[in-house]
Amino acid sequence: MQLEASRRPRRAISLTPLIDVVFILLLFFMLTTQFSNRQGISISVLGDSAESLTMDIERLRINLQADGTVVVNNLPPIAIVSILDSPEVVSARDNALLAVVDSEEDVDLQAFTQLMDLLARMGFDNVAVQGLR
Amino acid sequence: MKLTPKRQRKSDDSGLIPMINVVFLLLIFFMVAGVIESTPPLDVSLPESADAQEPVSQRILFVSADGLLALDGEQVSEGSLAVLVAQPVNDAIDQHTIAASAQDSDVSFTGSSSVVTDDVDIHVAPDSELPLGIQADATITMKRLKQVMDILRSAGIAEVELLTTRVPAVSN
Repeated sequence: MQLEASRRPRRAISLTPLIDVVFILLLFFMLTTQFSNRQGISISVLGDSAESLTMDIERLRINLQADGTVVVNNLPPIAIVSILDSPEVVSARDNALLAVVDSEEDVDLQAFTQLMDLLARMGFDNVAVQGLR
Repeated sequence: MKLTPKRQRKSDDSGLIPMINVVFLLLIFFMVAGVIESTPPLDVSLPESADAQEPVSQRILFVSADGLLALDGEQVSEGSLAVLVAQPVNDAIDQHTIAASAQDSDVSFTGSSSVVTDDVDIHVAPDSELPLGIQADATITMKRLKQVMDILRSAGIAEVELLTTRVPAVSN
């Protein structure tokens, strides 16, 4: 007994539906993806000034002023970008001191971020922010 | 009358294969290189930085330009922030599930309350030690940021990660 079924010519599977699906997937991913350009600055949160002052550890103190200058260790104010060349800051970095950043209350976050960014560029990996007074 | 011979239907798709290859490559590129981001709960334009690191935080606190707060995709009040931030992300859900299962077992095994208590006492492992990310608007004042950090510190958070937008470094 001979079966006829096997003689039927095999038809190639059409690729068109596959392409449709792949195109839809492609469109979905193209429209929904975002390429992240985020960065993160790690900050330790310190308490109020009383708490941190009682700890008798040598620290680099940086105070960000509302006029865009910074006061390093109570020295005369300098421009933010000048901390890159400030001898106090450089030596604190070389001695791996903890940098404690404080700021006046009406400084905006962009100026603060710029300062933290410069500290990150200099290689400070231990930066703390002073809390409320 | 002569009928035209039935045309041999051949698959004409072979010319499409290079295109499919390209489309597949594009598809794989977008799947691998992109991230699908959930829509942020608050409109925030991040401050700019050039030399910071890749962000590692997973849980993110939003602080909008007018000082509103949002955590885990929902707006939160200042008062509830300390409580919410202190418990791990899935804690609320887990507690709910545990409470529900405790109720169930209470109904089915009345009297075995010690077992139920044990169930409730299951400690939900805290989130990993990743810092809390803060997505704050570039225009907020440090006063606001300090207020928020004060709340976070009272909730036992000692380290945060300030999230920024990368811009090319200024030549300096």
